[in-house]
Amino acid sequence: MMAINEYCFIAVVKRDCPTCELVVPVLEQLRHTVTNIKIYCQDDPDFPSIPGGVIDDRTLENSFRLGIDIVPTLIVTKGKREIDRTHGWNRSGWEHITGIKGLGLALPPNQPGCGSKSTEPGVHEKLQAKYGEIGFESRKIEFSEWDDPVEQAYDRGWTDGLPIVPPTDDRILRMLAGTNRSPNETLGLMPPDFKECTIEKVAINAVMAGARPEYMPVILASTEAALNPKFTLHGVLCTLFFSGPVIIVNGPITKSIGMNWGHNVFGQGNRANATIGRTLQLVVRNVGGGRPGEIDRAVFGNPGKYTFCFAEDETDPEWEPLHISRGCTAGSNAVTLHHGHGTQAFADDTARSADQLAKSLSMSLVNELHPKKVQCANVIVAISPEHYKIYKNDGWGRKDIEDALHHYTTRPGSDLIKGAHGIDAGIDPKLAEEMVPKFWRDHGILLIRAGGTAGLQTAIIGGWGGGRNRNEIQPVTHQF
Amino acid sequence: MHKTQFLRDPTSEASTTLRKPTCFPENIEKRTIALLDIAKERSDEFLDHIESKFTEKGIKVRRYRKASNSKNADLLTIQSIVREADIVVESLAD
Repeated sequence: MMAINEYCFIAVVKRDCPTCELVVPVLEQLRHTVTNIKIYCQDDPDFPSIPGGVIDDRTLENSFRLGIDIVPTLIVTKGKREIDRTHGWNRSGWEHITGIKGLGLALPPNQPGCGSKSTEPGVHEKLQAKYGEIGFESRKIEFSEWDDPVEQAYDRGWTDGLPIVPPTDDRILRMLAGTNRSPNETLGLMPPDFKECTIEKVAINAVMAGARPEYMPVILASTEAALNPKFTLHGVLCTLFFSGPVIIVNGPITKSIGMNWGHNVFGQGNRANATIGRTLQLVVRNVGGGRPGEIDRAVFGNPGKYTFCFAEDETDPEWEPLHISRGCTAGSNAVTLHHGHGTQAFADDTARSADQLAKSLSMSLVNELHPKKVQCANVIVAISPEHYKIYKNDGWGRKDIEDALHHYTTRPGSDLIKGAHGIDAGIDPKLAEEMVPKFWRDHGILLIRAGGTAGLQTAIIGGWGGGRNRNEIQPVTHQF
Repeated sequence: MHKTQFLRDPTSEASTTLRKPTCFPENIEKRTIALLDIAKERSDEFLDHIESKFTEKGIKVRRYRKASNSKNADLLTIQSIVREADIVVESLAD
């Protein structure tokens, strides 16, 4: 037997644990046998009721500092150094740690323990925020206990007009658990103020937006895509035009985090869709300083500037998803950012052939921005399942549909030149004899599948007039 | 103030943590000024004096009064001021 009184013993238990109840006679035996034993109880300062009492750890501070995962846990220390620990009830383990033979002979030899209260969902981060090292670099904004944090956020101009979730340290810690990347990693300089955008700042804004930690990979990818110079975020947020970032998410993560690509896909009701898009807008507002009426000079804006994010329907293996068509690898996750605004409805319940449907859809597509504007705004075309069925029945896939839409939206210049059809607006009269495409061939139409299963509909999400500068302003796809 | 709550700053921290006061107006000639009596003793005397000074200069003035100096103005009073006036002068002391 070791010289047990050179050692200190620490036992951590909770009443709401059958194994802790089971080991009470053993703890009582230890209390009589060893001089230094501390017993902490997580939920009842009167448990176990044995001579010498227990230490109340309902704050869970000691359980947190001791790193308790399971109760009961028995720890042996010498000086300030931990020598060994065991958890649950295991006679040989407890005998080994204590050096005392014959412990709990009336008990079964083994019984697993229960989870520590300090590791229950949401608890660990609260304890970390209260007792641990968190290392956040963002400054604290302090206010009175009587103030409402939600109103404080409004007063400081942090919100988009809707209430936010207060960014407390425990919530930020939980959000950061959604990524393996370091909180102080910089994603880039966020316009318009070109301030450093760290992962910590993104996490704070994700908390405010109401996001869950598992959305963080998508949120970070969206932020990185927005900061890609090809996206020209500064331009889209200071434009007079309607547009703002629209996020399309592809890959297995869309299913993992419960994103919506089906019914009401552009509407309300899905937390992931709503809060991922909102986070990007809050980051632009708070980190970049892009606020309406200041640098954001939109004449009308659009409701999607609160949030506009959705997943593509990838349930048909024969369909090539958007991100794959844009060069991402099979099985990868990706976000594609488009400079978009409101949804234009296209409802054709008559067409029964792929060619008819593409021709019909093109009549709507050529109206984007202005019927006579060409090679200007890019668009998202979202095909519903019922319209997709028409294409598929004729053996059409992505490339066939794209080819047809580009073909049918290419029109005679004579119809588009200034003055044609009595309308002053139009293109250069020199193009009167040419056939003029409506959209850039490489990225002018972002074709996706989405929407509910019933309804012969297609949605067009129009784009920013800045798209006329095709080499400077493009949709951006970011694989992650 | 006993500070017991804090949030982390979501901004780029380019400005002070305190809320910025609204700037003083550059001119008041074409504005309507609300004179708010907080219902403390002799507030009205002070505001009467201020009103006469503004009126001499041809500046439009409207008078408002809180029910009690110990409570916030009621919502209808606040909304009336927002709707009808551009600038508020509040009498704070007796």
